[in-house]
Amino acid sequence: MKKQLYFTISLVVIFIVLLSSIKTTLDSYHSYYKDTKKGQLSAACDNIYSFKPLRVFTSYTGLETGYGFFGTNVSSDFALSYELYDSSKKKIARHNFKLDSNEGSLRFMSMNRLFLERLTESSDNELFKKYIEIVMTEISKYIYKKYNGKYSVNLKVYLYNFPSLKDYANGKVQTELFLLDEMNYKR
Amino acid sequence: MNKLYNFFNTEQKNLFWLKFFRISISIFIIIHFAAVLPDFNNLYSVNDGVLSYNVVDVYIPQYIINLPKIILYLKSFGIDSAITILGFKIIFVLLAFILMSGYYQNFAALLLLLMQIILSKSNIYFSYGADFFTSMSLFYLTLIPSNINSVGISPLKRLFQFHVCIAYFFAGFDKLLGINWWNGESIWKAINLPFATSTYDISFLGNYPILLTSIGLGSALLELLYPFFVWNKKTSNFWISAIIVMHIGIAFILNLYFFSAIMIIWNLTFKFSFNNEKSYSLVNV
Repeated sequence: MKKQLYFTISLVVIFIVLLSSIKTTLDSYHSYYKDTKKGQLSAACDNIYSFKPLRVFTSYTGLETGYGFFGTNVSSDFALSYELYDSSKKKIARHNFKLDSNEGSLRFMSMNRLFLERLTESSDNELFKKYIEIVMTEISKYIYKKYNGKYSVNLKVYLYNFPSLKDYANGKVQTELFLLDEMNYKR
Repeated sequence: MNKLYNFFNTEQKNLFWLKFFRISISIFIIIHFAAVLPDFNNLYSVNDGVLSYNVVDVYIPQYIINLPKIILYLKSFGIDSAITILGFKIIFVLLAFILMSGYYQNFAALLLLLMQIILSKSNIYFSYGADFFTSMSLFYLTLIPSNINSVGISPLKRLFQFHVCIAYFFAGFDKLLGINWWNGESIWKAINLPFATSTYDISFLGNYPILLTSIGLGSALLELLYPFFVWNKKTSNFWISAIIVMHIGIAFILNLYFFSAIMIIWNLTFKFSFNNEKSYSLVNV
């Protein structure tokens, strides 16, 4: 009886792992190829996945993750930098935004998916734009406090565009930074 | 079905793989936790961090318990947030040490899993792959009995083995779905991401697109074919070693040390899980 119970638990968890894998693979595929038509398999996965007890279980066990590891595509990344200005509007310094530890900075950079959504979201989604603005204000406020409110802050988010392999072969070696968002903060 | 049932219920003669998994995951958790301590408040506090909790809160489901929710709850009883954070840190590390010792393995793992979820769900923007694998590791340590005589060992060991295979299969499959993994562009982009290495200049690889295409396709195939080669005695060691080399490369080139470390632990556990004969010399470690 116990043997059968463990066997069943194992099969159920394997099913959940497969479900998460297939769902994230399909989501990634649809997102990369901008294919808005979702097939039956996609719809079925979404339906099962939206079952609340399953969501709770996967959230508390880590089983909600997919396993693409840089697949289907290595997504674009972003760089944050800020400039500090004194009360006479003179530029004091320019820094790339970093936290105090490598691990902290790496975790902070995971937030870049938000800026990626900002690029891919429909341009008329005012609510999402407003949300990004709030996030930018929060980061600016953090920098402002870090310097004890001595300077006003100009925060910039750039899309980081390293030349493609094809462009690199043709002699283009410089990284391009496209300004995506900007925020001025002074209390 | 009978064949499958029997395959899931084979005789187990040692638990070295589980001991290895438990101890290495505990050490990993302690080091990973220590690495984030300088930024703990920046990432997980209510109002002292980069993002105030009320900005993040909108995307956190009600059923999730996290550190800011606990801080706010205890604040209503007059407990200062600094004390809550300090208490959390102490309990977290203590549980990791208890788990490492093997004392009440399942219960210690369950509590640590809860603490780890509380932390990683505190800010959805600041978690990444290593956190999910940590949660899943603790889930396994909660589930798998630590007694060799338990009938649960064999089926749950198979579950873990299947999980590793599914993860790698989809890692390879997802890559091959993307056109840029077939022409070297993806691997080129990955090694030139802003968080990737600044220690070694490897941009010269751009002059060898065929090499980049081979590395990209090779990695994808190594992952995709993982489930087909690791079960075979003749190819298992080679395949697992090659995957570990790939993760070492990811660690040093992409600066993803912790993610690579936990994947290496999973692979070594997987490798050791096949060696459960009595004669295995490290059985009593």
